[in-house]
Amino acid sequence: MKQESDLLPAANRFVSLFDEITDSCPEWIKNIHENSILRFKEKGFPGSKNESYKFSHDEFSLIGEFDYEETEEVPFTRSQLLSEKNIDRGALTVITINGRYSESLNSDAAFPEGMIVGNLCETGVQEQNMISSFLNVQAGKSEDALVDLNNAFFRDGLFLCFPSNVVIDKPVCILNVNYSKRPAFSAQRNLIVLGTGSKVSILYEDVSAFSEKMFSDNVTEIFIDSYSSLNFCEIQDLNDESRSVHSIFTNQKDNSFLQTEINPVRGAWIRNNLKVAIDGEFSEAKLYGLSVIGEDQHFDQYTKVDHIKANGSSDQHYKYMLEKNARGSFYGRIHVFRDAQKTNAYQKNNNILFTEKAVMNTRPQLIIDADDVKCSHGATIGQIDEEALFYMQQRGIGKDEAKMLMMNAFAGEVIDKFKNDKIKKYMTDMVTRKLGGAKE
Amino acid sequence: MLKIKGLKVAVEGKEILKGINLEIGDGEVHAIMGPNGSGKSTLSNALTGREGYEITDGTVSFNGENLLDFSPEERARMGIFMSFQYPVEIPGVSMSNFLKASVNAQREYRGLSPLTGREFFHLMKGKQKLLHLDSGLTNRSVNEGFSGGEKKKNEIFQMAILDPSLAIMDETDSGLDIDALRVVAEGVNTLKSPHNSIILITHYQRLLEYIVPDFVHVLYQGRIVKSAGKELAKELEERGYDWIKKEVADETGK
Repeated sequence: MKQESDLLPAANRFVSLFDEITDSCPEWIKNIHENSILRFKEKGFPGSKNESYKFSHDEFSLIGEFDYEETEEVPFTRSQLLSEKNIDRGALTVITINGRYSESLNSDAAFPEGMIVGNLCETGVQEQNMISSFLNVQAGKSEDALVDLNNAFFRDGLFLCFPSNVVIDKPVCILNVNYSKRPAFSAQRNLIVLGTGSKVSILYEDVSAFSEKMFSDNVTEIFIDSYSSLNFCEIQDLNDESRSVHSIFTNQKDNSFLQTEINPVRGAWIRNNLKVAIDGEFSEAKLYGLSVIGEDQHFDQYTKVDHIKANGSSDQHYKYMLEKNARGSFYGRIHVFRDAQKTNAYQKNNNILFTEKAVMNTRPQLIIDADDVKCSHGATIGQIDEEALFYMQQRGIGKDEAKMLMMNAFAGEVIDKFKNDKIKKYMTDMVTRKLGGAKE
Repeated sequence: MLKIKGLKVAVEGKEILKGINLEIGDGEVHAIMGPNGSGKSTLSNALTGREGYEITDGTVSFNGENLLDFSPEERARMGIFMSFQYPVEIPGVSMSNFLKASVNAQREYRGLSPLTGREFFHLMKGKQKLLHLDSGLTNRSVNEGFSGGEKKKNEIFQMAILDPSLAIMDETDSGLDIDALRVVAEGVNTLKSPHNSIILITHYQRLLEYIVPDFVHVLYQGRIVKSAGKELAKELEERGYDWIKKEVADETGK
């Protein structure tokens, strides 16, 4: 574990890097950059004393050597990127390179009517007005130094807007390609806005173009207006050298619905922050996540649900399977504010460790300031049930197949809650693939 | 079919079975009785290959093969079935997936092609009908939320599906009311054939009123101390185990 002071050299490196890179963003965004580097300079990277990053901070000492990402044309065509692997990619796919919307790679896309898509800095005056009323509204209030770092370094990003009453039946895929030919730091930013009465399903896929080391510090802000519904599924399938922090902020108004499915699949070190604000009455958030954490992988999920208004509900279920020397962490906080009466808030985190070397930290937390609420949380860390294993072997089922049956059942409880059938299949196959290669 | 010679088994370094000799022929039903702690369950666990049961001496031959060389799943595929004293709940794994995996693993071992979904469905339906079982069981997770009686009936159902050459019934009667006991016993009798042998491990005589054994053995202090016909079970029911304990004590001079 590293103290805050151990991480100072890396932090200083970023502070000096700030002066080296150009900033051609609109004035008001430049102001965000400049204010944020000051905030970051004051805090530095979170170390062992930071509750939220307690089990995920050692990596920060390594990233000080990285350079800032280069921006250059990528040598791929749209069809190459879409065909490489098929989860749910197609005409509705928005391609971003290091978080930036690419005009050339999206020129052949058939985006549905009503959907507004573009870059945060380059869209027209009308869009700029809209962007300025949403960008950094949620992230700007965060105390997280990694959010400050993103705020200081993002030079552009994706703006995706579904104005009022836009209903899109097929999932919209955001395919984000992390692109660098040398070790690089990248600050990626997304802004997603749903107007009143919209209904959208988004599949956010984070992939690596090469096997080069990257550290990406990403922030996504999502606004869900009243009577809107969003399904947001994230698949992180990065290269084995990737380090990534992704902070997602969501804000929900009255009678809205949100379901998130956050599934890190591959990468050396992945930290996901999900900060959900139920800021309207009769709104619901379902937050799910699943992963098999493999050799030399560290996946960490931090979830904070703020029930600000009354009659809301939230349901969380995260499951992790850890093998070899995998490390995992789950830190889930539910805060029911004083005015959020009649709230139902549930949280479950179940983990299975396959080896003695695997480590899982789980910390459920409830803070309740209202008196008429139903809340519960439960966390388990267990091993594979040897009795059940023997029972199945006694019926002739081989040990590996028996394990797989049990693990598919374990994962299935979360996978069944996912909305998209292709994602269900992808995740079921992922469990089989990752565990199938780990025979004793 | 099964020949056990001088079998010694230790658990956590402590010798539980101290030299078992037992021969079971085709189509025979053998009851193994004995007071608590005499090693009855250790015998079934050793025969099925459960981890933690260390064979320190002796041999077990099953249809000419050296049984102790095989893994638990291989022994099952060779035709050994154990009805568990405490059937295990496996949340999320459906009975039909579990059974299909079992049947097809055993078929593969015997060089048979896997059953199609349709064939498997018919096999299940047929056995349910034969045993007068509620078809709802197969839609649920393995043993999850089953009552004690349902769990034991489910063991018999699995036995019917897998059609083993040797079935070891480990305290199948424990925890059953008289109606459930009758259903289970009828099931076993229905499945009995000149080719299938059964080992009934039981503490009480009452199961033996429904499933009539050819031989009764008394296991005590890790050894078979008495073997006789079915009349021995009745005698044990009337007189208890004390006279046997006394006989053993007299013989060993304790």
